[in-house]
Amino acid sequence: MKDQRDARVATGADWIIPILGAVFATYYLISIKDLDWEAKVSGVFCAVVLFLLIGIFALRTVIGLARGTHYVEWRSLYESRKLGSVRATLFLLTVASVAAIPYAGFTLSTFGYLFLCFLVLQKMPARRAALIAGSLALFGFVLFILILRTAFPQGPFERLFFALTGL
Amino acid sequence: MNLSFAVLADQFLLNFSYLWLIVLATTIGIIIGAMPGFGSANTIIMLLPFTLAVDIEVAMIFMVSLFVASHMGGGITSILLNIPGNGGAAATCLDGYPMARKGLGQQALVLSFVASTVGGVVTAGLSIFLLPYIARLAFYMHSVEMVVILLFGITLIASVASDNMLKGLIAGFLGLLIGAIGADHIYSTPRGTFGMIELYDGVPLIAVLIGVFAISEALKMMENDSVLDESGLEMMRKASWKQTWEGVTMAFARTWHMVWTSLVGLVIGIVPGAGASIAAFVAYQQSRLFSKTPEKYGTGIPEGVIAPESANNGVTSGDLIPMLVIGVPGGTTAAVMMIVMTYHGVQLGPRLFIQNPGIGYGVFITMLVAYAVMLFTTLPLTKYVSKLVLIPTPVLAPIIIAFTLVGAFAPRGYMFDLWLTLLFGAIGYLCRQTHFNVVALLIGVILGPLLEANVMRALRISGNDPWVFFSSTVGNVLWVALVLSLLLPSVVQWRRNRAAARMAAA
Repeated sequence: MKDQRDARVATGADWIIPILGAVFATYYLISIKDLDWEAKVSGVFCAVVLFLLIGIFALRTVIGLARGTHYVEWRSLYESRKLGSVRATLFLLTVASVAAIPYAGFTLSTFGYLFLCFLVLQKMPARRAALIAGSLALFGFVLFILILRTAFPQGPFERLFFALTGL
Repeated sequence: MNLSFAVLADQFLLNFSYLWLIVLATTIGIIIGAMPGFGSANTIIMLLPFTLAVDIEVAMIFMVSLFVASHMGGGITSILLNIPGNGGAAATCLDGYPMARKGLGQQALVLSFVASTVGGVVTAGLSIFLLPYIARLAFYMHSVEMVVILLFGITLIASVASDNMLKGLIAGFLGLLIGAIGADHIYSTPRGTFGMIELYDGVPLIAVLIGVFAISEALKMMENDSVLDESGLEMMRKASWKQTWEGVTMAFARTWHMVWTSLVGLVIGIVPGAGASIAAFVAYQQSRLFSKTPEKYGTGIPEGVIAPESANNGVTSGDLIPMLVIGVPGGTTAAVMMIVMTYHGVQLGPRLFIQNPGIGYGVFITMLVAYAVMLFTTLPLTKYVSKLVLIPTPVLAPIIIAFTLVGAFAPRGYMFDLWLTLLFGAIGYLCRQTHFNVVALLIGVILGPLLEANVMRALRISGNDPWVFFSSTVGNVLWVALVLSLLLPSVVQWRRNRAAARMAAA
């Protein structure tokens, strides 16, 4: 039974990108409908070809499902529950870190992000995680903010540093 | 343009007297080249107070060394982490990363450094002696010719997607449509921007690059404790100088490959507006096309690293030639250099080589010296740099995300770009998990807007006459080459199949 299933093509999860593509292409075509032809010719060409390709993809999948050469599954999105939760944790921590930048600044948000990632994902001892995350955040601060002058929103650490050093 | 031995010798001596500056500039260049979002142009802008304060000769040595080093540095993260430092290094991921996964990261790095050096040295050397003739190429390359060159690059979508053509083409055309976001080239009316003013200039390439490569790769790599597979881990633990030497011999066994792909970079670099990313993708595509084993491309073969890296560094000479000879910068860094040269009172154009031949030819001499210096400083480091892949992925992935996000923010300074990067990270992850080729998506995003701009320009100039695309001799030669390059693989494959069938029958 397993061998039979392995020989078939999995479908379901691979519909997300074509659906996103079709939705975006539809929105794109609506957004350009009143423009002059020069402004929309390339977009229309790409959108039409994209619809055509998605149509072929849909047809192939429907025929495959009808013939039994395809089967529906969503597992390839996360592979296993454990791996899925690890990836979700990493992504959510990243989202939280980006959301924190305007308030905490680059250095503190990077420190917090790396510290939590090391603690949760690598199960690193807290002291070691703090030390490595702190060193990396400081390195980032020196390289990106002091040397390369990246204009990140300043947080408490940056404000304190610039107030103390007068830089 | 009187070229004399005395001028060249004088420039060589001058460069060697500033060897410390070349070492400093190349070190900075390699570091910023390896960091997505930090280009040589931005760095030179930040260091303008220095380049404006010192003599023009010193400023040029510094800027040119930094510029060429940034092109070389881009391949490091492409190979080790599947994260290109810049658009020009994106094609290096295709075979560089699979090599690293097999435990051949050290050899791949050496291949990249040697190919970069050979590419840079060959094109800089050629530029010195053939400058007047090479410069004329810029006059023959207009929007019509650019359209055909860009089509050469876009056909790579079909090549990289060969394992699943339909999904690859969907990814490629989705990329082209994403590339069409932003104000159009004629009327500047917004298209597909969701009403967001941050997208009026189009989707920022760095956000897409970091999202679909770095973020999605970081999420993907969590499936194992190491970037390497078991045999790769074993090989990397035993890494020694032997692997560096192996990389050198691998590279020089393909010397002709390095030379001709660097010439692709030189020619594309000369065209103002065409950049390293086009050159690298076109060189990779051409390399695959003329290979006897095209099916091996993408699995981690030396040619797949050599072709984009040689072309990426062949571009450096080509980028500067139009600026020096006709006063039109070939790229952003060349434009910044032009500002510094103008500030120092240097007159660009043909008169430069009469009034200041030392500066004109000195640029290429600096390139030769900088590449030689880089080879000797980078090769010994490959053994240590390649160990980066031994860091456990739960530690490596967050570090990659934290530092590459800085690169997404740096070019424009918008928080919006960080959110966009995360969105593209999620899209990239979905693509990878469901086998939609992310390189095809990226090719579409990079080359789509350039193709559209050139098609529109050609049509505008010709009064919307579609025959304009077949109106120039150079363009028609390129069309024939494009058609041949699309047909040849099928013809060769058909002949091979027929020969194999005959052999089997016999």
